[in-house]
Amino acid sequence: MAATPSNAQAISVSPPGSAAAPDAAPSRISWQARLRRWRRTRAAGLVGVAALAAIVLLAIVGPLLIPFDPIKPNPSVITQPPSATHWMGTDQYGRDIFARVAAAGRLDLTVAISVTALALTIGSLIGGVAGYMGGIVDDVAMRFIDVLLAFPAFILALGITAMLGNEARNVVIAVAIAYMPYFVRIVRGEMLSLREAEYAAAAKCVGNPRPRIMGYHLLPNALPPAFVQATLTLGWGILDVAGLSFLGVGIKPPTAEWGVIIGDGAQYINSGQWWISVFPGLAILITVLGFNLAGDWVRESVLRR
Amino acid sequence: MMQETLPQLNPTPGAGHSDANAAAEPLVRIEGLTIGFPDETGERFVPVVEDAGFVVHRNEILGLVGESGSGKTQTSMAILGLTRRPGKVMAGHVIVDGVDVVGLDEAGLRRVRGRKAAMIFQSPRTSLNPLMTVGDQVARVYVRQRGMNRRAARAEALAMLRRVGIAGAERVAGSYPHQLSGGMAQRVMIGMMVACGPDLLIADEPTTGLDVTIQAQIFELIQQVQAEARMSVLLITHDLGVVAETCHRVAVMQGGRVVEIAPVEELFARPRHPYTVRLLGAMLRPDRPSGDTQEPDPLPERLDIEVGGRRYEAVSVDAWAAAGVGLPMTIEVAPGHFVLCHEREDGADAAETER
Amino acid sequence: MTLRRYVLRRLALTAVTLVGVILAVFAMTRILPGDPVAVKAGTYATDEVRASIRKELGLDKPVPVQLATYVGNVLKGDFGRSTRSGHPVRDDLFNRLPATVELALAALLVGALVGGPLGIWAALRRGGRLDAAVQQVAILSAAMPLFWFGLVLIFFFYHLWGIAPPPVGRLATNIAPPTHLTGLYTVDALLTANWSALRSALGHLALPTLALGVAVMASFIKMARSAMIGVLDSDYILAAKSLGLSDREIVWQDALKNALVSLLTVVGIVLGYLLAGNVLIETIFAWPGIGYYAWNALTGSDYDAIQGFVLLVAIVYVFLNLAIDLAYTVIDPRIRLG
Repeated sequence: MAATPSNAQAISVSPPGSAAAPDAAPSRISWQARLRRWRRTRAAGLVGVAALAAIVLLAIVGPLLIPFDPIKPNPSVITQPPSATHWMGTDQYGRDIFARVAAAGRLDLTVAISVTALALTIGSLIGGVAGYMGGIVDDVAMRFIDVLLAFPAFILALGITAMLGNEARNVVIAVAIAYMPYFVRIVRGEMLSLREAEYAAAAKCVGNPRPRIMGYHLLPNALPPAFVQATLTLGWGILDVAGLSFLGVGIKPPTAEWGVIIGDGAQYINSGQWWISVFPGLAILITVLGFNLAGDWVRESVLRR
Repeated sequence: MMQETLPQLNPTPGAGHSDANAAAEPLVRIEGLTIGFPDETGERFVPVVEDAGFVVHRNEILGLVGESGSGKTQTSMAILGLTRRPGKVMAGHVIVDGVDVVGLDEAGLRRVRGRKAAMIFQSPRTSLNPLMTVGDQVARVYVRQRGMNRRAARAEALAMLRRVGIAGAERVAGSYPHQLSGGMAQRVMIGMMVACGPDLLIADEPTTGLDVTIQAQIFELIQQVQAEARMSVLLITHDLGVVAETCHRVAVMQGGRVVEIAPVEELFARPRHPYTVRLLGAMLRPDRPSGDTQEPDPLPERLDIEVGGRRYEAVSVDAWAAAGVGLPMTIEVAPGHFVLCHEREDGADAAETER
Repeated sequence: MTLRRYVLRRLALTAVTLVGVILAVFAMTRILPGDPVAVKAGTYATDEVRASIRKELGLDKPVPVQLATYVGNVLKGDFGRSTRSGHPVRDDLFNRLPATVELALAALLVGALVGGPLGIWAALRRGGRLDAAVQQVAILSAAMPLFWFGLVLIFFFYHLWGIAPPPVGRLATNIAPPTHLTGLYTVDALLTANWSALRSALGHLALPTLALGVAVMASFIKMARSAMIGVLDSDYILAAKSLGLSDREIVWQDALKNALVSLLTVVGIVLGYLLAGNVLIETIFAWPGIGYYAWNALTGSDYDAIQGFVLLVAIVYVFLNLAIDLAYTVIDPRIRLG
C-alpha cells in the first residue's frame, strides 16, 4: 500500500564523457527524473505543510481568540448562522462552532498521532521479529495478520470499539489495531531482505546476541518504509476516528471532536443549517489533505536515498 | 537448422558487403545527430549524443560498439524516431531511404517504422505483449504491414516462426510469451521484425541475458536472415568478438560521439583512435597466456595521425576537456576508415578533410 | 498441474483465514477487556440482573466451551438473535443485504466507469494540464470525509435545489416496492416494467451512489493512471511502436488490456471499502441495508447484531478477494498457464 507507482521517465541521462549511466535502462528511474519529480512533489508538499500549519495554529491559538467555551451550552444563541460574534455559527445547544472546531483540532491531531505511533510501534515490532526469526514464528504472525486484513480496516475498528466501549483511549487502540497489519507487512518484508545482508552476517560473526542484531543493527534500516506508511496512516486515522465518532462509537459527545460535531449537525442539514457540519468537515479535509501532500513529499524524499 | 530459405523480402539493388563505399546512396545516412535530455532543472538540455554521423549501406552488417552510456541505443532509436521523452533530437539529420525522420510527423514515422527499419531489443521476453499469443503478435504484423486478412496472416505467421528456426511452430504460435525461453522469444522477435520486411534491422544487444550457446545461435540467425532477405543490420553490442565474426564494418562510439569507423579487418588490424585501442586491449586474447599478469602499458589518451602531410591527433573523448582541444573533425585515414580527431596545435595549414 | 495447485492453495488459505475470522470475532467479545454484560445491563443494574445476563450470554461457562458453542453456531448459520428486532441476526442481515449490494454495485459502477477512463486518459496525456487536474481531483476526494460529503450533497441537492428526494430509504413512502426478484429495487422495477417504482428507486439511489462513487472514483483514477503509465513505459509498447503500429492500435490492442488486468485488484480493494463505507453513507441516507442495521445495533447495544454484521462483512470480503484471485486465473495467461 505504501508503494508509489513508478511513473518517472525511464531513460537515464548523463553528460557525454561520463561513463556512469547505463545506455538505456528501461523501468529504472534515473536520479535526475526522480529529482525532478521530487521538486514537483515538494511544491505540493509545501502546500500540505502550510495546510497542517494552519490547522495546528487553529488548534493552539484559536481557543484564545474567542471567549466561548467549547462544551458549555448557551440556550440564548441556539443554531445561529455565522456572524461577527460567532465566526462559524452556533449549534443546537448554543455552543460556538469555532470554539468547538478549534478544541477538536487539539484532540484529533493528538489522536491521529497516537494511533499512528501505536500502530507503527507494535506493527514494526511484530514485523521485525517475524521477519528476523522466520520459520514458525513468521508463519503464525502472518496468519494472524491475514485474519486482521480480512476485515476492512474501518469495520475492524468499529467492531473493536463497539466491544471495548467508546472512550478516547479505546478508539485509539481500535484504529491502531486496524492499521497495524500494514506496518507488520512492510517491516517484515524489509527485514527478510536485510537479514540476508552481509553486514548482518558480519554482526553475527563478531558475536552480537540475536536481539541486539535485530534491534540495533537491522530494525533501524527496516523502518524508513514504515515511516512512509505512517504518513498515510495519519490521514486515514483522522478519517476513521471521525467516522466512528460520527456514528456514535468513537469519541463521546459532548467532547469536541470533528466527527462528533459533524454528527451534531447531521440532522440540521435537511433544514438548511449547514454550518454546524460543514466547518468541522472542512477542517478534516484540510488536515488529511495536509498529511497526504506532506506525506507524498516525505515518501519521495525517503525513496531518493 | 534453417533449411528453408527466406523469401526475398526486399530485393535491393546495391553493393555487396565487401565493398563498403560503393553504393551510390546508402540506406541510412546520419549526419550531425545531437540528442539531448533535460538536466535536473529541466531548463537546459544535456547532449547524450553529439554531432554523431555514419552511414549504413544496403545489404551490410554494421556493428556499433562502445561502452554503456556512449549513446549507441539513443542513436539507433533516433533512426525509428523513438527518442523517448523528455529527450529530443536537437540537431542533425537521420535520412532513411531518402526520408529525413528528424521532424517527421507520426504518420510519416509509421511508414518508416517496420517497413524501412525495425528493431529488436535487449529483453525479448518483455518486448512481447504478455496477454497476446505469440502467433497473434506475428500475425498482426502481416495484417498491418501487408494488408493481409487474418487467415492469411495466421498462415504466414506460422511459416515465419518455422523460418526463424522454431520447432513445433503450431504449438509455439498458440502460447504466451511467458511460456517461451529467452532464446525462443528472441527468435520470435526476429521473425516479427523480419515479417515487416524492413530494409534495416536494428539489433540492440539482442543476446543480453541469454546462454552463451543460445547467443551464438541468435547471431547465426541474424546473419542468415540478413543474407537471405538482403537487408542491412545495425548490430549494437559491446562484444568485439561478435563484431569480428558477424559484421562487415564497425562504428565505435564514445561519450556520445562516433570516434572511428572502419571495415572490420582494418579496424582490428589498425585502430587509430585511443578509445578503440583501449577497447581492443580489453578483449580477451586467447593467444596470450592468462597467467600473464604483467602491468599493462598505460594506454595513451592521444594518438598522432598523419594524413597527406598534415598532422592530427585523436584524443579520447573523456580527455577533451583536459586537453583543451577545439572542434573535432572526421578524417579518412585509409579507404573507408574514418577517425574523429583534432588538428595538432603545432600542425601546418589546416585544410579540413570533410567526412 | 500448477494451476490446480495454485487454486487449491488459495482455497486452503481462504479456509484458514475464515476460521481465523470467526475466532477473531469471538475474541472481540470475550478476550478484549470490554465487558458486554456491563454494557448490556447498563450502569444501574443489580448483581442479580448481571448474573442472569451472564448466564443468558453463556458467559458463565469456561471460555473453551463458549468458543465451541460460538463456532458451532456460526457454522450452523446461527449468528444469534437481535435484541432490537427479536429476529435471528442472520435473517435480519440477509433481508437487508440486497439494499447494500444495490448501493455498492451502483457506486462501483459509477466510480469505475468515470474513474477508470479518467485515469487512463490522464496517463495518455501525462504531464499535461488534464493530467494535473485529474490528479488533483483524486487527491482531493481521497482526503474528504465520506460522511461529510454525503451531508453536503444532501444540503445542496435536497435542501437548496430540491432536485433530490428526502434522504430517507430506498423509495418514496407512497410507492410500494417492486415485485421481489433480485432484491435490487432498480433491477426488479426494470424487469417488471414498474416505471414509477424505478423512477423513485433511482432518485433515492442517486445521492448515496454519488457520495460513495466519488471515493471509488478517486481510487480508480489513481490505480488506472499508474497501471496505464506502467504499461506505456514497458518494452512491448516500445516494440509495438517500432513495428509501425499506430498509437490507437497500441492503446486498444496492447496497453488497455494489460492495464485493465491490473485494475481487477482495485475492484477487490474498493469493494472492501464500499462495505466499510456503507455504514456511514447508509446511516446518513437511512438506507435500509446492513450498514444502517449495524448503526442501529451500535446505538442500541445490540451485540449479536454487531458481531453478526462484522462477521458477515469479513466473510464477504474474504470471498470477494478469493473470487478476484480466481478471476485472474481465467484472465491472465501468466497465471492460467503457469
